[in-house]
Amino acid sequence: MSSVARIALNHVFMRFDGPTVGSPGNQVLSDVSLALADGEFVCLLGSSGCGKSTILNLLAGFDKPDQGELLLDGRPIDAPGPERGMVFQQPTLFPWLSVRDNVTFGPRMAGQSAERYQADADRFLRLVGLQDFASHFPWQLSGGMRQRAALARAWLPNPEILLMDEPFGALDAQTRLAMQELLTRIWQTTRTTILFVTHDVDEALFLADRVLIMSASPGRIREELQVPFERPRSLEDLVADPAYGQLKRRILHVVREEAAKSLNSVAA
Amino acid sequence: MTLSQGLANTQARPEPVRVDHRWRRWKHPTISCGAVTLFLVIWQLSGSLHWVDALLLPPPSEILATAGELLSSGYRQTPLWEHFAISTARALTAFVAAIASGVPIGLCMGLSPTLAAGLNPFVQFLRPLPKIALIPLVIVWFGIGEGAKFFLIFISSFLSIVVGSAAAVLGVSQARLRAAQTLGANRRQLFTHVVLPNALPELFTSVRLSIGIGWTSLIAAEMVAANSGLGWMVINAGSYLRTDVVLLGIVLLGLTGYFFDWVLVRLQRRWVPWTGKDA
Amino acid sequence: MLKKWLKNLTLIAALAASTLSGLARAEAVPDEVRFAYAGGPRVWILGKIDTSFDKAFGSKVKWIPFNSGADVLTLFAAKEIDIARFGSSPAAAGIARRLAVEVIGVPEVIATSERLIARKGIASLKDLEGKTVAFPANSTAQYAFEVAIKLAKVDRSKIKGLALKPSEMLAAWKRNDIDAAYVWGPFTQQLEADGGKEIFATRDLQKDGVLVFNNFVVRKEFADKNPELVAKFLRVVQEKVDQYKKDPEGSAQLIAKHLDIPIDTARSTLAGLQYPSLSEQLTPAYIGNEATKTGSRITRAYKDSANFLAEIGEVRKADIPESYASAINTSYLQRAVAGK
Repeated sequence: MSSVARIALNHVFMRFDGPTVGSPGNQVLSDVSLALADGEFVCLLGSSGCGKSTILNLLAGFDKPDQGELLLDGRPIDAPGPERGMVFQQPTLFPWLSVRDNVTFGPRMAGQSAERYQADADRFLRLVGLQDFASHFPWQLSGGMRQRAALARAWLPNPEILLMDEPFGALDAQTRLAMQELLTRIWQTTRTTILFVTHDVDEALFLADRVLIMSASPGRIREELQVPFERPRSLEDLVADPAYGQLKRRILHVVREEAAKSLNSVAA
Repeated sequence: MTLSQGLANTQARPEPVRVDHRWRRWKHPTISCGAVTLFLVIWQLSGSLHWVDALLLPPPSEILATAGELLSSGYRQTPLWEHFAISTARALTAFVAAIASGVPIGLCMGLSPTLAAGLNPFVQFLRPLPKIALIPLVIVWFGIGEGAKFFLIFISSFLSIVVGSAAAVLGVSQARLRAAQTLGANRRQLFTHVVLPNALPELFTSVRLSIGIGWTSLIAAEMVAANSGLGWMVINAGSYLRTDVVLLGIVLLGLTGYFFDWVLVRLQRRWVPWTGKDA
Repeated sequence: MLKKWLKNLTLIAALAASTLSGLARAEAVPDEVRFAYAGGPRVWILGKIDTSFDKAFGSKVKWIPFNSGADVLTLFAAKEIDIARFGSSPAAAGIARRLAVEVIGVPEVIATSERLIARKGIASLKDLEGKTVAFPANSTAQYAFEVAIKLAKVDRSKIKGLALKPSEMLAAWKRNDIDAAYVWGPFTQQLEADGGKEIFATRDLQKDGVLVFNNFVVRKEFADKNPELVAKFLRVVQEKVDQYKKDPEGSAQLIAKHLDIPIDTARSTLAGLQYPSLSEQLTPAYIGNEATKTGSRITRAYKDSANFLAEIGEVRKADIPESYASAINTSYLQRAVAGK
């Protein structure tokens, strides 16, 4: 793995205003710095409201930080673009387009010719298992299938980095497991740099090379842990591995501390 | 669990299966038909048994007889179908003009807050105004020709379409826009490939409503010195206390409005099948 | 036991109350009597100015305005008015539709109060071919127009007839949307002031035996309950006609001032009507009495109106009664003349 950062946040501060003029806002991010190397799969772990989604939105270019810089390959990020693909918690497919047209949205916007992207589209549709549903429309699919289509859609333009904001959070446990396996399978063929936000510790340990744990508001990176398990990973084997339990215990400890802090601050 | 097992769990949602009998499918239409039939029976009895003065409420039998007369000898020497055609033509011309001008203006208002701020005071003031109140002014401006009638129908549909189109644009979800942005859509593409298709269901609904409103303005329009048309027929017959003709005219007007709406619903189902469905 | 006794007592009390109130109703004068009047100058307005109707009845009179005869029919159907003064042709149409009203008098025969005003260049009825003529819907003016065209053997299909409210006619005239209008004052005077010229008056129809007139029509239910009121009404009307005949100028001034219209309009309209007295109305030359009404001129005129309206498709032929005599009640005229 190259040590040159593809994605970097340097000392980023971000504050959201309160609901009305004059009411106190809150400091969402306070001096957040992180870096992703090429091909890394990094999970951002933390409880609700700690700013994980904010980091993704900043990287996607939807918001600008109050202080600090965001860099892609050394160049500052200031607007959304196809080199930073994103998968949201809701599939957010376009209901007026078929699955195939949804998946090929990126190349079509870029003006590519159909010959160029149709082969890739077929490949991705097969990768996510939707090759028989290419002409279906989103409302005809289940939640899991829609998210698979959203995955293919974000991935087809071959982005430099994939930002994933709790993409499996809305799915049931079984589907979630299947999607995690699907994700790692595809990732192992493309080795795209991925920043994956979740609050599920098992999910983070299964997917990531590195786990970043965020503190409660104001958000900052509290701890960073390497996930040493070799790929391809099998959930059954992982669970039996004693190192898994220790790692999970360590993470849970930190997460619970942060959770307690945020609860206390709310109660106070 | 293996990948294939997991995927097997995420099959396509099955089409809702009608396990119940055919009866369930026809239950509601049957109830509707039954209600209408009951209503007609009570109405007919009210006339036949003289519960109500036939002058005030002619029973269906008398209206049918009148329909027969009008079909054979026309109303005021003009065949009934001609009155129907004239009214429909007046309305359709005004609708087409209202849609062609109202949708672009509404879309622009949705996209440009400045334009919206400029036009909104007028649109919001004129829209709830009963168009009948405008008749004296309209006569002075447009005279008593077809222009006046066109304008009255046009203005009611137009204002409604403008408001609906603006709302349809404003209602696009931020999530969809953001998804398109991360896929590389530029500003123009965001409009043509996201905002516009996203707006279509609401646009259609707005057009449906506006045409309904425009159709009800037909009577106001035909109060302006007409001597043909269904609306004129209703008003003129009223001045001779021909309540049978009035009711027949009302039924015809109602059925035609219902038909327009039905056509639009079918078109909507065909062209915008994703209406109301999430993704 | 107590319950039964209480029940009986309640029953008796209720019976007594309704009987008493019924008797009371039969004798008492209504709180309000509602007249329907057009906004134009008419002799009975004198009775509005000096409240002589109110005094004669012993109750308040509410004067409800209308635009044209068609409105009167609607008001009668809705039971919103008790007595109306309006045109013979709309009355004929209303009676054909079995409106529960009866004709009680013919106060005015239309002579020059309704006229056909046309633009320069139109000198006769024949010149109207290819032109647009306006008239109020279902009015004596419309009727006079249609009959005049027919009698003059002009091609009706070549004339565009337009139903307009009298108030809309001046604007349409100014915009050149209409070439002529058959209507009453003050609208006729307005058109004449804007370059219009009279080419026909309803009086011109009389030589062909066509009578166009205004009638007093009463709601049957009201008349049956208050026959003496109706008789008093006719008597007060006659008093006002006498008052006008004694001092036409003074009466015109009063009416013009009250209605806020030009004195010329008031003067010419009032002079443009013929006023048969109560006794004259009882002769067969007009309505006739109970014995002679079947063959009287007015009764026949109603039938002619209705037949004509059926010809142009406004009235259903099947609705026209055998004779309009059944809708005319001369008993009130007789009571009024007898002074009861």
